[in-house]
Amino acid sequence: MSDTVISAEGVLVERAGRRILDVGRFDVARGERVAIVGGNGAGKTTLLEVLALVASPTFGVVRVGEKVAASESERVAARRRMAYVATTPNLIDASVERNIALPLAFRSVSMRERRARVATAVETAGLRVPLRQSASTLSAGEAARVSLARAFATRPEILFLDEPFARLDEPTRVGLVREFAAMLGGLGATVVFVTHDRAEAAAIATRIVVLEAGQIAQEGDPARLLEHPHTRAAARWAGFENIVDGRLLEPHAGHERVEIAAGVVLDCVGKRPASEDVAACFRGESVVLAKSVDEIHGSIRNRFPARVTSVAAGQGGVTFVAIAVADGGPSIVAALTAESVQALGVVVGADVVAAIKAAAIHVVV
Amino acid sequence: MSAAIAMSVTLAVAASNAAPVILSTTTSVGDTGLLDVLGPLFEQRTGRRLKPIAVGTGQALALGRRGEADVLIAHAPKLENEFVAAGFGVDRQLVMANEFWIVGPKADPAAVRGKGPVEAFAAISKKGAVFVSRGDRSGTHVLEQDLWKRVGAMPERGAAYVETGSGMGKTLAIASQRAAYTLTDSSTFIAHVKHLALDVLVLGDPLLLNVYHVIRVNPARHKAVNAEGARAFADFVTSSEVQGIIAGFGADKFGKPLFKNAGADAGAGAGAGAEIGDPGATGFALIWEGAAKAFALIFSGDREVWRIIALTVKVALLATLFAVLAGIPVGIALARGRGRMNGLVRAVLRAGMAVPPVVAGLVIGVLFWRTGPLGGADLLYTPGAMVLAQAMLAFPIAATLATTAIDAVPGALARQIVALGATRAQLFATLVFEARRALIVAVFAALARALTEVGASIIVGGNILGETRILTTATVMEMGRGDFDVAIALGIVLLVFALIVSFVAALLSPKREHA
Repeated sequence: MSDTVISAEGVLVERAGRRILDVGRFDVARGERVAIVGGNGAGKTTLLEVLALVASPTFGVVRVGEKVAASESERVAARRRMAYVATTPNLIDASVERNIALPLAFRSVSMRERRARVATAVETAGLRVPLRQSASTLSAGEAARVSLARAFATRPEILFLDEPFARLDEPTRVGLVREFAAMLGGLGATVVFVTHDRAEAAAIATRIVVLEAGQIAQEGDPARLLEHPHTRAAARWAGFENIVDGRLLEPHAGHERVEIAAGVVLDCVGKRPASEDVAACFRGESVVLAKSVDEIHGSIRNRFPARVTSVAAGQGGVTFVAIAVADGGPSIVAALTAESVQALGVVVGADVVAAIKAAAIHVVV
Repeated sequence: MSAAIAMSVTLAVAASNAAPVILSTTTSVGDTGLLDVLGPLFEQRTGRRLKPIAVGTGQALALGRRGEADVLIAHAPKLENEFVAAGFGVDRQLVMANEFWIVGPKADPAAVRGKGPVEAFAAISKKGAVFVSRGDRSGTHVLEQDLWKRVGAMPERGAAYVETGSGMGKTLAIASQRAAYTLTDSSTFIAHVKHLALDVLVLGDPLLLNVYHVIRVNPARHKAVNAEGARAFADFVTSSEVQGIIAGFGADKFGKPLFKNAGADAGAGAGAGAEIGDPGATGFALIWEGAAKAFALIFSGDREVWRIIALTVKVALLATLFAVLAGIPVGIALARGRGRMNGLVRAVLRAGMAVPPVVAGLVIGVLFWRTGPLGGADLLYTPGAMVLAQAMLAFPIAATLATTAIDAVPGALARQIVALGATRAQLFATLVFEARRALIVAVFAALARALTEVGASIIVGGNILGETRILTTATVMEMGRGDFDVAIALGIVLLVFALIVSFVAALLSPKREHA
């Protein structure tokens, strides 16, 4: 017997002739915490809605505990094993208590049990407003907590969250995200959540799924994904400043090679992709700048001349220096300390030599 | 050619310069279509526009008393004589005549065929056969009352004596529906006979002569009266040309002329009845009098008034109930649904909100006529028919406003409710709860439509005293009788209802709190 609690098979969603989601196979095991990440329009919310049985896929099936809910009553029964917290709080025009108890009323839970469960959920969600208060008078932060408490009150096997804090202001959001990890710990549910926040995903998730144009671009545990992206989408999510399009050449001396400009070929690490249309991705701090080739450490294989196009101070004493590779070549960002910038005397228009360790460059598709 | 153009230009100028002539006349003249012929001819001959207002003789005289009309055509000689004697009218001239007939079911249960009118009425009364009365103080009603007086026994209102408070055509339709006797003028009967299951049973008696006179409203009494226009019309209608038209009018359509002209043997009149008093209050004083009468009506404990009020409320509430019970599910279905049909249904319902009540009344009337597809239900001229008609009018409002109300619930909230594990019924109940403030407005808009419409109720209900008379139809009837103060009183009662309904609505849907 498998410990898969929910799975999507061959799920395809099309709206107005446009393909929104195309997921071949997606399983979630009991106790997992899966973060779904990706850019706007990647299909994150649609995937969550399909899994939560709120939206129906054009093709494909969703199994909740091995079973495909075929009839409406089976779908209702399956939904009652799950809870869904959307981006907006989606409260009804009634008291806080009535809102939290609404799913319990649907399940015909006794009044006594309802009161007890509402009290526990309010506690867990850290909600501090009178239960009689009208939901329409809540602040955004309070409304988000009511929406969480409503989900907790059902004691779900699977909890879906679609950026429940995205609309909150920064201090409220940071506070709630911190508490949220603790809330989930107490709940013991399988969690699937959508987030834009890399730190939040890395802190809470046991697995990260990167969606791009409706397809799963890459998935894995957070540490591996941050270090070893295989796709541009994963690299973007992992915060690589440089994702430079290029042409994949034949491997040489155990290295993959990517030509990013005429005569500029970077040696890289990583699996050889099937496609020739690739990108070399690397972080800004992996780029070393020097006045001349002589100053570059001997072990760095990738070195090429460039011209400084802009200099901008970032946070924490980091300065971002943009350089153009060759004439009309791609732009690359290097992250330098302020001291290095001074020592090098980097100014816009200066000719420099850039160097990147092969081990810091990943070939992505 | 150019002369013709010059002529028509002159006429057009004359027509636009001269004030229109307001002719207050009886429904029997209006119903026959004679005015449709005389109006354009009058304009052609005199360059003046004619505005004929077809009402009962009671209202025709009342309008004349108030100087609201310039010239009258009436057919209640005694009332007319009093009207002239009191100085309200001048220059009463004979225009035309026809006959009153007693008509009834072919079976003739009271065996009145061939009897004299007084004997016939006595037989109807004795047999307890059903008689339908205009009850609107029209010339016909006045004569009918006179005949009962001669019998010496006025039948009691009830199952055997039905008051319609409506015009002749309507009253004939009700008599036919109920296989009852009634008194009619020959012209209206001939014009309507093909829709009626009634036979002419009594005719040719001097008592039943029906004469129409033209009377100019006394310009000395009212400055605003168009004296010149009135004289022009009086001259016109008694001219040999028009008299010739009247003598032949209707022959082509009904096989025989509807009227005899003044030259024929149209002598002394029939009829007696109500008295003509002072012209009564006008303007704000009239409204004030109406308000006082409204209080008197409500607090006098008059059973009839309370019955009218109770029926009004009962019919409107039932109609609203049906409209809302059907309208809210339709609204939910439309708001949740998609597709081309959805837009079409919405458009049809929106248009339905603007359906004139008379059209709804007509449709239901046609369906429930004896000869109609649903005639077997025997629903016409009952409160049930009124509930049906009002519900039909209120339904598009309830459905459209319910659709708007549910539309206003965000799709994300509806999906959330589904995600929370709601069954379809639980989803609908929650949506209705969420939209309750707007839905209450829908309910009260539907109720307002049902409560205030008159066109449909008068057609399918018939304004029968003690059976289907409600506030709006009674108001129209009182207007027809010329009892403007009572009409205003009933209007005020209706207004008080509207206020109560509005306050209840406000209590039921408090303003939403906001953060």
